[in-house]
Amino acid sequence: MGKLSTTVRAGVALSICFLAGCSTGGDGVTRIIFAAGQDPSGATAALIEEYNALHPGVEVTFQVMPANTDTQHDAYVTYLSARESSIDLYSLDVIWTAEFARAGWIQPIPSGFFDEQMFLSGPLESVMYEGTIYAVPWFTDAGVLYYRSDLLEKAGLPVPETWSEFRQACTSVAEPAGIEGFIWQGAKYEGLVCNFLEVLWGRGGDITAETLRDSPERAVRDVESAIDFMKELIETGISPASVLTYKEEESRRLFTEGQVLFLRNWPYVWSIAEDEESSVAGSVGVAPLPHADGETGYSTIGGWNIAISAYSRHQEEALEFLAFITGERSLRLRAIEGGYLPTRKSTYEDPDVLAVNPHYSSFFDVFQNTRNRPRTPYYPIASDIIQENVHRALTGEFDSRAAAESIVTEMAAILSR
Amino acid sequence: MSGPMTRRRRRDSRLAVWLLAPSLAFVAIIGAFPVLSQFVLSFTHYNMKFADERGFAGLENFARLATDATFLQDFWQTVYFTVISVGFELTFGLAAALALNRIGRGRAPVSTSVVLPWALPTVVAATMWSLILNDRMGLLNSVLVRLGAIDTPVVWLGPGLAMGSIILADVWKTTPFVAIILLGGLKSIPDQYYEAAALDGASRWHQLRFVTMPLLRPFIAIALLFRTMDAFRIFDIIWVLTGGATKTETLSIYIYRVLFRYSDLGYGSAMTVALFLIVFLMSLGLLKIMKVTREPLQ
Repeated sequence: MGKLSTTVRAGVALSICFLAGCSTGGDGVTRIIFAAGQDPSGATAALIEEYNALHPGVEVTFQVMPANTDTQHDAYVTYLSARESSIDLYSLDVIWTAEFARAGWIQPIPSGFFDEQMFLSGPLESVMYEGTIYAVPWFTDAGVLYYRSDLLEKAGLPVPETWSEFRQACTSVAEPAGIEGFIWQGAKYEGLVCNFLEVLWGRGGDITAETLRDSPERAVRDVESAIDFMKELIETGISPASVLTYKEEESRRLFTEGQVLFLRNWPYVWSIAEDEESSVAGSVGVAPLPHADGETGYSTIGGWNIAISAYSRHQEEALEFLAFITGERSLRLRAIEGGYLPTRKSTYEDPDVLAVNPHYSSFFDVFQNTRNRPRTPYYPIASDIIQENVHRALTGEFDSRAAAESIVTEMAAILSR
Repeated sequence: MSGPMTRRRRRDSRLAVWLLAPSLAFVAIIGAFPVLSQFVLSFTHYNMKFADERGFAGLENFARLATDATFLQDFWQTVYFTVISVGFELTFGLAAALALNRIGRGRAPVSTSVVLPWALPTVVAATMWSLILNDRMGLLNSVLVRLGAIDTPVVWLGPGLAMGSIILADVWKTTPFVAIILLGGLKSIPDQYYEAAALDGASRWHQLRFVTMPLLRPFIAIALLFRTMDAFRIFDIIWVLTGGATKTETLSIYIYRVLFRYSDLGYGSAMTVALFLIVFLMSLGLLKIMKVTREPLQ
């Protein structure tokens, strides 16, 4: 009985403490909570430990969030709409900045807090909303083209830069070898948005607020032809019809099993492809995505930024920690230990980073031409508009012209809100 | 003599009220309150992200619902899923229950293996099916190719086939539930009824038709009711297998999108209220059709 009541009492005390937000204990130590997805390499935890050792008055805790991006998003929305103050820093997917900034959930970053010149342009753009910086770029991601260097070499072909060279390689190499030409992510989910935008951009199109307002007819034509192009990939057998059910892992598995010539995916595939269990280890290359003749290819940018909660009661301490965790040294360590692609340019010339990740120099080339997905507080709706219409057009449920028209009208309405 | 009896009874019932009070309060807090606030929210414009734009909406959310093509399409897809999957589940569940009821020895291992799919968490079962149905690395295609039934892999989760594949996974998952309920019903029918029927010269078919089925009706009604309500709110299997692509989105998935992805509490609540009313009326209708009453059997 006595034991039970102690437990109950402790529980009550703890929940009162939780409700009242006891973040500064009686010991005068300021407690900071940093919420982010798991880091299996342990580099983040090690950095936090180091930070705590150097700052006796502050104790930072790493709050591990669900690995699934959407689940993480929904959890944050729930916390922040309830004005939860116990979490001080949040790691945010690049597509959430506008949404969280507009809601007033994240604090603007003081000007001069970091040197903008030091960061890659894509991630830097992703932390801005209406001219204000709301977060600091943490690590990055971008769509890249993986190819089978052994097969291209044997055929004496260069790495294709344009879609026409690309198609040629598929017919002359993949078909005779009895493997698939090109695998991408065509399931109805966020990845399809990235794949679609890359095709659209690589053919000179775009769906920014300005294009949609100033030349909507052109936008419809561009979107329609991008959809038709993707459809053609399937109809001509370059991609199997099943790409329309693939996400990252299904497509990655086919590639590392040696059944594919070209794969569009994110940088994470590299280390799996070079692993000894992969049947293509040693014969994989990375290149920027192909584009139409006379155009430039762009990769969709992914990755994560860190922002400070507007409800945090420890703004100063949180800022100080933010400077540390997004600093050069932290990004270096996470690149070496965990393979997280740094957002600071200088890291890509660091000999220690390159010794562990020799492929970073090829990724650096890809990162020169990246673009962000539409930056709007209504991003989830914008994403669903693209997913829905593109997927239905690709599966033949919608005519591609009709799909393009609804994308352009609905996106224009969202982006002008 | 009756004085102390009534007094005691009154005391008992007062005690019962006190004993029930905590759980009633609990139900009110976790059950009634959210449902009521959902009703209230459905008459407002309220997006969690844009709380400054909050306001009274009157019937606007419901008017929008009436003209929402996605809602209508998802409604019919949900009906299709419910009718087909529950139909198969009842048929197979009844067959399984009748078979299990006849097994004498070794019933335990057989029952266990029948119940197994039901014991799996739905998300686990759905993930397993997504591996089975995968066109390149899936078990189903590799078996069919080896048997010579098909030459090229079938894209089971692609257009045209996706809903059928989802129904297959759901039938596999929930037939055991129906089987268990109906087996319980079969066990409750006394042997004497069959003995009497046999003495009257009733064949096995007639015994099934005139003894088993009428007595099993309340159990079928329960299974049907539970399954219909559940099927109409289907979310997890579809979420894992297709995410709602290629004409497989159901009302629950659409509601999830609006409530959580868009954090549009106003419109999402209106949809929830609509779904609640649909399921409620459907259940009433089913109960009426199945004529589940307290009257004793004639």
